[in-house]
Amino acid sequence: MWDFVGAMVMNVLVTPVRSGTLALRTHPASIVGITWVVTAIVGILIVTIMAANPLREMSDFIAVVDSAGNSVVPAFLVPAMLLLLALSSALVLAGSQRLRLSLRIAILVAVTAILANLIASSMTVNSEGSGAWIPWVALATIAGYSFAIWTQRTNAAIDFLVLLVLALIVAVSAYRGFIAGTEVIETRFDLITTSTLLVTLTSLALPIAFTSGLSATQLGVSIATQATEFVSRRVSARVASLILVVAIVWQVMAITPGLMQRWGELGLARSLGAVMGALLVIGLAVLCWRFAHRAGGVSTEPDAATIAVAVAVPIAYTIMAPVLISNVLALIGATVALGRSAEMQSTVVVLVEATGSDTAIVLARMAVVVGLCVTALITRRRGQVRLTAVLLIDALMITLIVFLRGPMLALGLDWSVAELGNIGLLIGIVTLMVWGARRALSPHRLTILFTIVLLSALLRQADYFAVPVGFLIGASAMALLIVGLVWGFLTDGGATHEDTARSPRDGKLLLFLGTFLFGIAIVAWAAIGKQVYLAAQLSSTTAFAVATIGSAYVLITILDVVLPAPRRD
Amino acid sequence: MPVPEPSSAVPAETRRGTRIAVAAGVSLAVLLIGVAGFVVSSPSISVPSDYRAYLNRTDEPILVVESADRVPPMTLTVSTTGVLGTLASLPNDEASLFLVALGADATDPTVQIERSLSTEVDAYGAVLATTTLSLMRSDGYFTVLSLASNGQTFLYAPPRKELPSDPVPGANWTDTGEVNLTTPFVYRGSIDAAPTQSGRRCIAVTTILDQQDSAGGPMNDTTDSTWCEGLGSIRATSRASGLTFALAEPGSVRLGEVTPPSAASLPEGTVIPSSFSNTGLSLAPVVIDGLVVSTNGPIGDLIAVHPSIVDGVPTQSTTWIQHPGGEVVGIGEADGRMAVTTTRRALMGFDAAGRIHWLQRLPDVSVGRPAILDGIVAVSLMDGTVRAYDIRSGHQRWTIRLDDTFATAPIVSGSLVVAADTSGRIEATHSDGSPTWTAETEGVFAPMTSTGDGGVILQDGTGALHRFDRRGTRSWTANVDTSVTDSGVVVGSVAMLPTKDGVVGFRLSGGEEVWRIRDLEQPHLTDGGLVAAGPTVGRITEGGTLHRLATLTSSSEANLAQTWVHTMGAHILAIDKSGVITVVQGE
Repeated sequence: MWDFVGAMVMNVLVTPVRSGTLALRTHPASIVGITWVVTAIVGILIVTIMAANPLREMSDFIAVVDSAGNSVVPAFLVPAMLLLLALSSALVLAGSQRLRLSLRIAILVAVTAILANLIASSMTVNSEGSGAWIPWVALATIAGYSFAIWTQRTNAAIDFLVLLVLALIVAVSAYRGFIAGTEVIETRFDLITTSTLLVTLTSLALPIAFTSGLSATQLGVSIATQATEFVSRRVSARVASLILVVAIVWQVMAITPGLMQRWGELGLARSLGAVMGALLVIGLAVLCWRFAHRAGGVSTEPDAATIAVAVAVPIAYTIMAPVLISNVLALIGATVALGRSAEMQSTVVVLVEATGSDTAIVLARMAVVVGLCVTALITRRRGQVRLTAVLLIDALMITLIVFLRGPMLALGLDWSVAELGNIGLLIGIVTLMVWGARRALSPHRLTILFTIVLLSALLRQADYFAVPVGFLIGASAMALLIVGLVWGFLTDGGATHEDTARSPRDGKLLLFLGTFLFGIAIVAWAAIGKQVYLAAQLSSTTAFAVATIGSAYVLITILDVVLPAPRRD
Repeated sequence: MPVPEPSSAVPAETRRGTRIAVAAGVSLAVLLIGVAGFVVSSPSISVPSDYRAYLNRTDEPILVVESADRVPPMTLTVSTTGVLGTLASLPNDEASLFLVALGADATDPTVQIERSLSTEVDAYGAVLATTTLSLMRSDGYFTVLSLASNGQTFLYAPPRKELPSDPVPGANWTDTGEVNLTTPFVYRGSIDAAPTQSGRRCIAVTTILDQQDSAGGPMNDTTDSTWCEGLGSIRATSRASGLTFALAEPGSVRLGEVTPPSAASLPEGTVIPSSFSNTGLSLAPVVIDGLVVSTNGPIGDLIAVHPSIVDGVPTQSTTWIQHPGGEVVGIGEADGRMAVTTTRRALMGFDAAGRIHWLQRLPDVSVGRPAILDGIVAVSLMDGTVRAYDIRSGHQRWTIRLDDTFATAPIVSGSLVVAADTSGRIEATHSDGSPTWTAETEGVFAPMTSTGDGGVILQDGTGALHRFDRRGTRSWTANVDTSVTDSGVVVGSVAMLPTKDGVVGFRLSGGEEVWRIRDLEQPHLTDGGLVAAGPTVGRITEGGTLHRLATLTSSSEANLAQTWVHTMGAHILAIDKSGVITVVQGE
């Protein structure tokens, strides 16, 4: 038993972390030191998120109450958020300005817009002429220094420290302006402006919330597959069969009341439609899998987890692109158009609304699906079967959930991801009965059955392992997001440790750290500040990722066991 | 023979470790300097010196003042604001008076104003509310203006000094000036030592006021008061009247019951100008018999007005003003009592005379209006708990914990209190705390609607509408392509739900959408299908027909951005955001 626990901990937790973000041997000492400081800050943030309720109970509050809603946050949270914004800006800039040109420009524009908006919103009558030029000079220096980084002659660690000092000057100056404004108008100006800014910046954290959904799913899959491996290899067939039966019975007992209630609400016809819909989805996934492997069944690619993470990042940014662009434009517009003509302000509004419109969002999602399919055709020709499978099944799940949900509902195919899990369990039960009756339960077949049964449970309730986290922090809706963020931070950074053609590793690592730190800071604001709408926006993005690419990953893992591709050494 | 390397060479690993530590240390140092910058910039929380040390600085600005037996106790609340904030809290006439009293101090940014708001009930049941404005200046603490709800006004020009800048034993002072710019006054003060109380330094202050009444007769009084650090004047005895006022904790003094003023007779079409101050209402008003109660935004005052006709002029008489501390989050009312929650994590029980009967500290801030049922008041807190307290005594009755925080207030449905959190868990509880039913849906962010029988209609985070019956069974689910913005009402067999672009009617039994009324902005619905939306006030029938009762007008469109409708006795009142009351249906 202890062997099992030890192996589980090692394979599920220790090994991925060791080979993940904190495997820093290839980086210079200065970058390693910075990474450890950022990791410590991330750790502190996670602890404060977990302790949100007791922290609120012992803090003084600052509050703004109006018809738009109430915002009541601990007083320390506003300056803390500005500090974290400065730190993540410095990391993101220091990293991105060493990477490809398109990324340099996009991030430089975004960060400059954010900091400019921060400065502009902190200007009050009291602050004019009293060092008001300092943050603007600091911001200009940030932009100038960023161009200097383009020459690739600077040291990454020094870049970060210089940018950090400048960003802190901007943040502290802005905070001083907020406090001066608060004293003049006797309203919590600091809270109002910080809240408004963070609402806009939340969109920049959505890609991280999205990829965290996949990270959380991967953790769940890892736990399930390790358990499967142990049981099928270390335990006798008889005991393994018994464990399998117990697992099935336990799941049946757990889901039956909910199923009966749902079937009662839906009625027989719709319930059958749900089953048909789930079977259709599974069938389509199998078709995609077969299609990916038809060209030639060998593969020497990385494992599915690594591929899935690599694919998730561009999916995240493309799906969120309209919201990201719209919000950056809003920040730029708010800064540039402040106090200008009505025509300029209305032009800004039109641009912002157009880029963030429902049409733009739909187009972005269509672009993702089309891009995935086209890329899949290309990679299939190259024999990259696993990558092709990931791309196709990701495209399939996004299409089914985003575009075809309504039409399928209209046809009576009211399926859900949970229904996939129920079907998987049913398939597991039937298969067990058939193989059991034929006395054909080999260790390999037991592995298949365990995979189907355990991963079906994950499809049904992806957040089961995050439940204790939710209970602890009294925020069950954000539990999966938090687990995904932490796990993603610790493990997804493995790819940053090697140079690629246009991306030196130091730049990739700093960008990775800054992006994650920013995402976790936004979650801290939502959790400790009880910003329910922000929390809902982040959680729903994570849930969306779990439903689409997370489910795709689970299906791929199942198919890899049930319909394995031949491997070439 | 090769020469061996010196044995003192530092291994590469150690050198790397040192460089890592240096890099980490430098990064940390820069961050800590940044932290120091924020700390230095933060509002300072220094312990005040000079006379400010003796002013009320408690976290609980609400104190019940106990007086001699023959005078009923009063409630006193204190707040400190700047000149701008004080001006925003006063109606126009009184604001003008205040500026006159301040004189040059009105433009001094270092000047602060302490507002003492008291309310008491006399032997005849009449409410007497007094606002006293005191000036906090570098040279001392002064009384500037006293405004009573019975019309009595005292303006001291120049202001009379209550405490000198350095209030030490042996200090004395004399002020002269005019009261109400008409009669002279002389005000003398002296300070003696006083014993400490509960570890707080105290001083004994004696003040002698010589002035004339309106008939020119002498009006003299000597007051002996004790001031203690952070508490203000904790005890004051008037030698002329023999009355002693001493501070007590809310709930420690029995205040007795008071009957709210009944609704005055108001003709239909009467428009009553606002007394709610210049900033307008920040919360939906509530009606207690003849009183309309709401708050003004930036100041956080709770204000009760009595709309009536006085000498032929429609008037909102300010019955009382109280400052509960922080900002008011929600007001619930039932049976002549109010439960008020604030951003200071407090829940307070007020009566119709504005007196505070009890105060409870909460672990977090509440969300929305308290729900009142069968003598208990239930609040949903941001920490994910629902807590119930006795409405009369304030004693805690029960607590339940849900899975996540709340975005919407609990509601009363039949004999149950129903709360729903942002994870989608719904709990229905009896007033005695016994759980009744539980249900799950997607996260709930929109206000719920009571079906009156222990069930609710709510919109979940996906936008779907659900009805849960009194057993917690989901009766139906409907898709609605808009957002529910407020609690709705049930009229006959139809549930009317306010949405962001109108009112939608759903069949209560089956959930079918039966009608939709568009172009009603931010509708507020109340019993019987009464609706107020912008300038439109009307009644919606079960069949979905809107009968317009009135079209409101205002000098500013912003005042009509949010309007409310209430019944007061036989009247129907429409209230706009500035606090103007229009009698849509009179007696």
